[in-house]
Amino acid sequence: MKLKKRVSVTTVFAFVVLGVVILMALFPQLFTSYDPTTPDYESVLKGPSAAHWLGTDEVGRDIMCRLIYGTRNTMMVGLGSSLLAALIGIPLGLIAGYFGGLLDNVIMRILDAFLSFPAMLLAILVITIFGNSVPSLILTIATVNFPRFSRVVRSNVLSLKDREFVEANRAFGAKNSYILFRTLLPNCVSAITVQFSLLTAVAILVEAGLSFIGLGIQPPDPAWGSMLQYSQNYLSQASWYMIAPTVMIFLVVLAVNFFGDFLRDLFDPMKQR
Amino acid sequence: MTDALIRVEHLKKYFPQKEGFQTNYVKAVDDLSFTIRKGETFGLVGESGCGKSTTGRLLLDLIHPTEGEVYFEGEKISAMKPRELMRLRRHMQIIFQDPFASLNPKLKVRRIIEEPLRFHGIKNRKTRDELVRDILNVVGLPEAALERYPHEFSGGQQQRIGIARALILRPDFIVCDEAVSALDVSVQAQVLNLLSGLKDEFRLTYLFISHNLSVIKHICDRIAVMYLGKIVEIGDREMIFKNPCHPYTKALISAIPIPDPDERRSRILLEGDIPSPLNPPSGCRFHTRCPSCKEDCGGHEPELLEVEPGHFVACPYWNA
Repeated sequence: MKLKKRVSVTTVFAFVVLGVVILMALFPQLFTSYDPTTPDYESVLKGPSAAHWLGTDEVGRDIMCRLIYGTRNTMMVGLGSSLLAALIGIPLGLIAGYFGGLLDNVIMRILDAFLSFPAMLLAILVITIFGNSVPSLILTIATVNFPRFSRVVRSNVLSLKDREFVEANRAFGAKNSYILFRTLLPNCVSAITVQFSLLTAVAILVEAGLSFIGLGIQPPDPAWGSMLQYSQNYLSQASWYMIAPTVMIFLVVLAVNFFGDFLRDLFDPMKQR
Repeated sequence: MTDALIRVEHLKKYFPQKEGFQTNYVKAVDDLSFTIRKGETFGLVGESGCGKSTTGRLLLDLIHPTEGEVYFEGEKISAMKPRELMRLRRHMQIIFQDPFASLNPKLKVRRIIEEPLRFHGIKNRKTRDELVRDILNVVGLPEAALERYPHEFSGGQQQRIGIARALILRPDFIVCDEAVSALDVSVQAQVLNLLSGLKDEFRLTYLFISHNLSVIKHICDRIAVMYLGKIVEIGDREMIFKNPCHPYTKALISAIPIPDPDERRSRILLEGDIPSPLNPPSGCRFHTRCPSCKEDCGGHEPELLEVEPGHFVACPYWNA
């Protein structure tokens, strides 16, 4: 694919933000000299200063440091759960939409059951079984979110499958697997990327919610969602506390969105030139 | 019958329509029998909704018939195993009405044309590339087209891509489903000429589906006229155009525009709309609109009568 065309501002933004975030996730020690878990009771809930650029939290830990060390957990939960949900949800949606009939009904009703299940209840269940860890958080959130992928893909497939180029595929002897993954899937990419970026944002916030009832990332390990959660308690004393994680979540979600747009344009020949 | 390539026997396709607890059937194709001979262009003509396209798809086994059989070179298609059906697909191809809709917008032209080769296990890239270049040449597209996407082409060029794709496996039989209807008149002529040329070059047999009688007259050897899922008249081109016998055929032919302002002619105007195939009229399906309808026409279904050798009409009063 040729990339000679002008690169848009949003694409640059997406690459810069995601690049920095990935670096922070991989090598947090490069960005800060503090330790994210050691309390310092001398400086509790201090405002931004030369020593603590973004201030300190309720037990005196550097907020910027925790933000940086929290990146890994947050991104693993956010992106990991969306990836897992996509991996399960997309094939189901393709199959349900393309084959239709009884199979479609069975798949979609099962997905409805998953969707109607309260996320929190499911989280408690999964975490009771698998213990409290990042993988079980990913599994929980993916379980809640994968039907959304299926639904979006299915509705796309329903409108695509009777188009003549799909019929042409069959007339020329294509196997079902080819039609599903080589013809229908690429034509669903734009809907999938939108869904992916939305669900990544949702996953980061769900992690925050789970932290609140003690099922998320366990303290003292940092994560953006749980930082946001704790900062609520100190809203009146330390209003700067909540700003940092909020801005980070906002930037990442925006970047994932823009990255989704970039991917969509990359796969859409009509947008080139 | 000499050298029948396709033989259709009592072909029926009913689409179920659920309405509450009741299931009604759209009789899209209702008891068709005809043969297509090797090397001929067989025209299927009729109004929208008369089942022409459904017939084309039934012949290619893109949809399965409710009843009846299609034979390809004497072999029953419905009895074929998947493997044999795959082999059959090499011999039967289709060109679609809307050239743009029939090409995957995400793929480059090269990929679109070579897809059938991939499906049929031609793995060697070099071989595929040669075949693609050959066929591109045949349909009159420049090689630069290979690296471009379908939306960058005009309708006529897109249809050429569709034709190239249909030809790449060197089939014997091609269904042209309204293949030129979406094109401008001048482009129609080019594509029609291309199709006639290809027919001689590759010794093809066409099923040409169209609602446009002028096009049918230009390209077809034999013609079947359909009305509401049934064939009302079938015969050689000259028979149909010089001596139309069914009142419906007569009306259709009288409606062909003549490019001469001074020409006066009597047009047979049909009244009303085409009845719903959900609930077709009893007896002769045309009797509700027939200008020469007799009392008993709604009573019994007319059989195809041979009015001259090879010319059949489904109207007992064709002579009246």
